[in-house]
Amino acid sequence: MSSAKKLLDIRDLAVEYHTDGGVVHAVNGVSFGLAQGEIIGLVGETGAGKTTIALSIMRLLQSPPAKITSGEILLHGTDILQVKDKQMRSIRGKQVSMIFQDPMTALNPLETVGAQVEEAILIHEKVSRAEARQKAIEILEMVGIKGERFGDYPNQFSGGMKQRIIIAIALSCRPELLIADEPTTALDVTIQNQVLALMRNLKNELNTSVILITHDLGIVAEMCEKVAVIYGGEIVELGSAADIYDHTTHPYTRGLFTSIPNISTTTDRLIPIPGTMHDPRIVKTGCAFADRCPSCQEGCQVSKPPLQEVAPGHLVRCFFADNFRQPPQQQVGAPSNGAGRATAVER
Amino acid sequence: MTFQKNKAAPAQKKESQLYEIWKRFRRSKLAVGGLVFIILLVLVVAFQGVIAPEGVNDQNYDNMFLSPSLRHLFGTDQYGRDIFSRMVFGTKYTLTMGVVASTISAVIGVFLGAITGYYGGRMDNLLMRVVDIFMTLPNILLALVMTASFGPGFVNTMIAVGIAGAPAMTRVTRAAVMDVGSREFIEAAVSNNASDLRIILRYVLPNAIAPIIVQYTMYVATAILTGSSLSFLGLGLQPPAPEWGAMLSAGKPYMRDSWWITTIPGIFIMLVVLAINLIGDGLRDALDPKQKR
Amino acid sequence: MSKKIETKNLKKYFQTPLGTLHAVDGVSFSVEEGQTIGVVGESGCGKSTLGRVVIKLLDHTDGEIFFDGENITHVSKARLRELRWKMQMIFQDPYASVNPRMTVSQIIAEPLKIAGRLDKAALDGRVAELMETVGLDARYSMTYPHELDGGRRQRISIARALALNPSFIVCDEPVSALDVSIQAQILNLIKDLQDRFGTTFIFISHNLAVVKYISHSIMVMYLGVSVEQCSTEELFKNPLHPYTRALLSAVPVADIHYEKKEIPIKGELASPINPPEGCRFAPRCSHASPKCFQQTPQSKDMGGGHFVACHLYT
Repeated sequence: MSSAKKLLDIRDLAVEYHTDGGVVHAVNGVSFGLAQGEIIGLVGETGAGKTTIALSIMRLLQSPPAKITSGEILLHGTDILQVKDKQMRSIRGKQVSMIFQDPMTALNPLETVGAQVEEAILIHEKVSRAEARQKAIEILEMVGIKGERFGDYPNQFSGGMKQRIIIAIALSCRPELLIADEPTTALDVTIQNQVLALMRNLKNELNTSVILITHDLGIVAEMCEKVAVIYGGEIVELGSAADIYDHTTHPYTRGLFTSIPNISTTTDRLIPIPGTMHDPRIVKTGCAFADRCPSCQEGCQVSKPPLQEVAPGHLVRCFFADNFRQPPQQQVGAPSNGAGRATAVER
Repeated sequence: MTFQKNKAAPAQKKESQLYEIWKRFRRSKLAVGGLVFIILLVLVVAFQGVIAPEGVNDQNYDNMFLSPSLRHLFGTDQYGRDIFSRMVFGTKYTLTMGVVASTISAVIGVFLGAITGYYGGRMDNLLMRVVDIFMTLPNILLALVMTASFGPGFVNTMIAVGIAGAPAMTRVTRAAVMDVGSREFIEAAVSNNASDLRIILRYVLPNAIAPIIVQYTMYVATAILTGSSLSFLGLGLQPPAPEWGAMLSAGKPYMRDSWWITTIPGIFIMLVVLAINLIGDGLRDALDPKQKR
Repeated sequence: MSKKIETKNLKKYFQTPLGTLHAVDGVSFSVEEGQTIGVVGESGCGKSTLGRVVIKLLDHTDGEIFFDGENITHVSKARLRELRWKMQMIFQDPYASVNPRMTVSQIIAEPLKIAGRLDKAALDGRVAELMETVGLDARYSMTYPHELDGGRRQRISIARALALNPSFIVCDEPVSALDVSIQAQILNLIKDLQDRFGTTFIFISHNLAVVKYISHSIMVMYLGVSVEQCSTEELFKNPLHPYTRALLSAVPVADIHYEKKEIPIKGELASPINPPEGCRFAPRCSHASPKCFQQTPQSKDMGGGHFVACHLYT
């Protein structure tokens, strides 16, 4: 489905952070593509490299310490890692926009929200102030903020409304790609629901592509057509939502599913992924997940498994992917085999 | 996001926090320069008898007002005393003034700041208003008034300058203590029946130490300056003691013809103050964990 | 089984420049010995304050608290010291809840030292035992918390809480700052500890799925008030209060075939400062009638210990 109108194509992206404590290998050769109007979920834990990928696309990585060591990010076929800073500024906001996790800090507290939306429009579009204002009101109403609140300051809004205003700013120039980094993590569930519904509607109306970064598999299930599971700076599993949820293959992805309690099913015991993520300063020769993998074999520590296609469009970085791919009937979430011992104690 | 939360696997490499602070401190060339300068001065104090070519008060009326030369590196004064030697012997006064006065201000300020910051309430309110009043007065004025009432002398000057620095120290400590006091581990300590004293000493102060150290260091410079100013005004150490401020003051009448009598002590006071401020800046950056890249 | 902890009409108000903040406004509940009650609600609903008032880290404004049948609403300082050895708390933020200037073993030993019950050798033994209990490798005993990740720090916190064998622990969002794989480790640890020591828990969380997994009974809070209380099974099978229903429907489920019953909820949380008469949820409730804005609904047993405070059921 994605080959038709490919908007974004990331190839072999690698990013390092050069810190006092050594070189942190944050992203190690990530490739994925995104079609117009598609929502991809980037799923992974703290330190997996999700935000680094997002900031690379926005060219907002602070360098130093960050350094993009390889790869290209093609937006409509142009590598945006190569374009001049000035050109990038016009791409940012106009073609690609990003919203961040914390709605409390992303707005300027000294300016009215209307002025902030207006400003975003004025920067990117050659319109008069009056037109910009009209557009700003329209866009605020689109995200459910009444026009009469145009002149209110950020502190007069609640967290959920602020996040909607931020979405309004991000969408003010109708970007083709919206990157949302944990957009609802700071919000309560009922408010989260409102914001997610808004994002879904906007995507349908404006045909915006979305990269949704989250650690919540529930949100991904609701929102995304495509999912990339990231571990240790690598994509370990990539596929359609159906691939990921019904044919969960990589042991890490399966571990994620058995780790989360679910309100729709009753679980006697969660099966956590043992251990913790390895130090990203260490370059691993074998599989990044090998140390925590319940199905780890000798070879896994020796060489890195390639990202192989187990079904059309379903890519998995595991030597035993073909054996692990689950049949569709199987209930996801129920322990299917010895994947992870039921132990709360670290190894 | 990645790089901040990555903690090294503890088993393989253990660096003490002190070493990490030193590593960050080292990054600032200026701060290291300041530290080297102060260490040199400490060495000068330790070996003053060896370094100084002449005694403190060896007067020689044949050699009055000699300009700096190889024989008299910093020239001689109105009594023919070798200024270089006097500077060497005076170093200890300057350093002592800085350290002792700052320590006095820290003892008072940390005590008051910890109590007001931890307990808050009416006493805090009252005490902070007093501090506010003191903060409106310049340090020098405060010290001046106190020295005037204690009587002149080196020890009295140090006490006066120390007390004059206490309000600022109280402020800094209180702010740091209030910040730490709202953290969850304090609640945890309360729920474990830890006494207030234990909480302040084992939980609050160790975590509030960074701004206190910085304030302490910065005040060393202020104290030296204030001490010298008081000596200059005739309230500190009395002649013929080779206190730098007093030397500067004594050279005043001859400034037009013999600039070095005033300029040399002036330059050194400035250098010491600058060096200590640089160290203070470096420490502030080094103690701030956010600086860790 | 006996009631481990019970509150009657417990209230906690804070005075703010804008007025009186009703953080907890008349909450009654009880937990059976060796069980876990989950307290859910959105931010600002007063669940954390409730936990702190129950173990007397905060003073209450009104109402009564019973611990093991004893009225501990007003107790002497000496008695409070004894009580604190039996009641402990595990905090939300693993980065803020341990003293960064102490080593792991010092942190865990702290309550033992304060209680002064053990000599040096016995103390070291007890610390080692506690670390083993919570699954912390012994090699970490001399490290500082900043060298450890969130999951291990939370284990330190748990070991510290367990040090004096408390019979009752309040957990305030203990896993919400952790990654999912680590979250499961900690949840299982808490379950295991309960099986082993028979500890009673209050488990405060905004995450319904987590609460469902860990609790025997659940209390749903909204703006300082308990709107619904019953066994976990009953709550998910038969939620009564409109707020509970909306909350349940809003939770994203990690299953692409799950059909969401969308129950929209209007607007956002009102301010807990000087709340008006009537049901707190009324302004956002789709079933609200004029009565809801005038009369505060009382909690009513709908049978089998299923309490709900809503005019729909009176």
